Amino acid sequence: MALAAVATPEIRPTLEERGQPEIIPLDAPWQGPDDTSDADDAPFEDVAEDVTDEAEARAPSPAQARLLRLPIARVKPKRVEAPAWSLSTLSGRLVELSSVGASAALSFTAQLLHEAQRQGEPVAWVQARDSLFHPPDLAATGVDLRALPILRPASPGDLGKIVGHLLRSGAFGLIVVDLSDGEAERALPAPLQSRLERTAALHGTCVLCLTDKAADTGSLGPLVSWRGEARRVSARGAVVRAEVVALKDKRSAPGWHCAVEFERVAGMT
Amino acid sequence: MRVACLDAPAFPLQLLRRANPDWAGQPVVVVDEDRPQGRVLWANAEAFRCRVLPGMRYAAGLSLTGELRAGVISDEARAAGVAMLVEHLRRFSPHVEAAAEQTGTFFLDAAGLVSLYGSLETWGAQVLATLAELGFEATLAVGFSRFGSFAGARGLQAEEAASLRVFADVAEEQAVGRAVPLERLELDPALRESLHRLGVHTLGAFLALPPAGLQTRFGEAAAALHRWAMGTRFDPLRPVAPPPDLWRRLLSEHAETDATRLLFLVKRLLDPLLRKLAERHEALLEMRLIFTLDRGEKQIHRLRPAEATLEAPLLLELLRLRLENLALGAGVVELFLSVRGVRAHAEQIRLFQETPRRDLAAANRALARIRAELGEAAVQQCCLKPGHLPEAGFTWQPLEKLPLASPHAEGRRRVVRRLLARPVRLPPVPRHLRNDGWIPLDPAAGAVVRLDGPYVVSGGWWHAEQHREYHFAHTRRGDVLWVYYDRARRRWFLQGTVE
Repeated sequence: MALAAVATPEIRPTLEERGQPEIIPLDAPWQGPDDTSDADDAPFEDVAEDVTDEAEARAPSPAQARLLRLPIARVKPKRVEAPAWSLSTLSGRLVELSSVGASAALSFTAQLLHEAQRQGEPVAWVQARDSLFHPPDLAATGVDLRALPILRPASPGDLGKIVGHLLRSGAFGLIVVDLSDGEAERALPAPLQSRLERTAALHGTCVLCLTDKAADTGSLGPLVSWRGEARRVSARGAVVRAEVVALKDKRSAPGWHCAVEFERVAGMT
Repeated sequence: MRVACLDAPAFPLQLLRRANPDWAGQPVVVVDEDRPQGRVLWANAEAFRCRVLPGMRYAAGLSLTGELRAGVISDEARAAGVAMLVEHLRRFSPHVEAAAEQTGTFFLDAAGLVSLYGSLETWGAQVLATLAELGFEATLAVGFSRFGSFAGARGLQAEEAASLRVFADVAEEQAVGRAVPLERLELDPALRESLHRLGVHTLGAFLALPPAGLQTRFGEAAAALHRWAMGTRFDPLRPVAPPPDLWRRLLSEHAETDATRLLFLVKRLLDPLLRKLAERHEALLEMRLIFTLDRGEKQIHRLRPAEATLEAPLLLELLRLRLENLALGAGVVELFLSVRGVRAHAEQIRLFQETPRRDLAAANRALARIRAELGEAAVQQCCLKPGHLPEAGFTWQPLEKLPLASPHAEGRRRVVRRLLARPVRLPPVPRHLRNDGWIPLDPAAGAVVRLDGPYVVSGGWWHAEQHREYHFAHTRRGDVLWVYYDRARRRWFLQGTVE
């Protein structure tokens, strides 16, 4: 097993390269970030080729390397883990996914639910609005509905109690809180958000709040660790292309986005 | 099928001679106990010449020759010698069996080796040369059955002409085997004497005896030998399983001198080894760390925890202490870590094995608390059921106990619709659609620009008939509304949205 040479300048992909959305084709296997498959490595390898060429151009010549006692080796850049829409990126955080209009929030949430269940993480859905995902649609994405408890608070005050109980147990990897428009801030006041944020970080749980908001409106509060917008971008044939854009990210720079192609429902063109 | 038998005669004596090379040319015996009353088990040719024979007391042998040398070969030493030879023989054949009955006898799978070595004679010569380098004398016969090759190898010792024989066909193997003297087969002395009195001196004469009579007159041992020699016993090759690769190696392109970085490199090697030990139900007893320095030198470090363990933090602490006080002198370019394990207690294994990250029991306790505080209706689950209408495709049920999820292995990326609890009545489509546009819900979403459908769904024929024409209405803002026209009520309703 060879280690990368560190004597040469550290080469990283440029911000533009990192910012390119990673488009996941529909026929690609659905895998979580922990899967170490070739498909997972492929996007990085493309970047690595370009960066390697650039690094070679800047690398010292063999004569210089001999003088500097540097190893004359092909420079391989360090792997830069770009954030992605995955449970590993969002775990231990208070997350808000909002959208209005051409929304794709439920589709991205279904992807996250399936990933969590595949990793053996119990999940829960807190339904704080009148509408719900269409259960057959969610089951069609591969999510096991039998293992998805749906908690229905009778009042906004109950919402905090429910999420608090779930989080304090430390037994859930993902808790989706489906908040209604206008009620979101009232249902999750700042003190409650503070408690939720601390407990989520303690247990490595992702608390995902779904809200109906435009991108230019503020997030639930300053304690939200990540906020993004999920929107449909285009439609082609039987495929809808959607992307999630990070509007706020306390762990890495905001602005990164992840594009995914979704299969349409029958009858939709 | 080609089977080879390698036989090292008087194996304990050879081990003793190998351990004491300065005893060459002297009478040497293997005794069962290291005391004058110890019984002689094996004696070499020089001892035989001095009339020191197996079965004598060591003191009696000493009275015959004062030069007599003796030693004890324990079972452990014998097993270690066998293991060493198996390890070397595995270089020549993937399947090596150490015969349990005859220590010093090994069976090798010789099939398919001709294309690799040119001929079985070449292969056999290389095997014998390797054993000679190790200080062992042996004979090798390559035959077509286990007993045939075994008898061939023993026959070679009787002939003392050559140490290698490759049988061309089964007939030759059988002919040679029948001529092998019985005393070469390590028979029970009493049985051998009985057979000698009957004039049975060779294996061929022994095989001519009726098997039923052998069982009756000479017992099970004679009958078992007869069955083995006749090939009527199920007798497959039982190769020794190769030891697991309980080692890892890491090459570094640059010389590493920092102790902390070295510790993390060693951790990368240690973690998979601990997992492998746990799979073998073993705990780490000792680890050996070899650093190859930049100038070619090697540093070997042995570390033993207080007791066998599988706890990585404890082992890393020991490693850290060792590395912090280490004077390397040069950078490390290669790391080699090997571990040795012993059988671990079930508790150790249970603690090491990866337990689920989440406690499902704790999840159920949390759900029970919510039920207790907010009522049974607060915790529910969706159960799918067959139904034409969207709201009839599932039902709500109380969730008694959260099971372990079993999601579909290959999920589908699919658009998910949002379903309203109750359909919302929409304004009718204006008569002059081109001029006014149809704004079904939110003016901010704009007018409907496209309508996919209709997709007719009907049901409830026996109670209240439903006839719905479903559409996907695309608004100017990009919303996709899931709407239907109720034919009976002659009104539009919003069923949900596409998200």
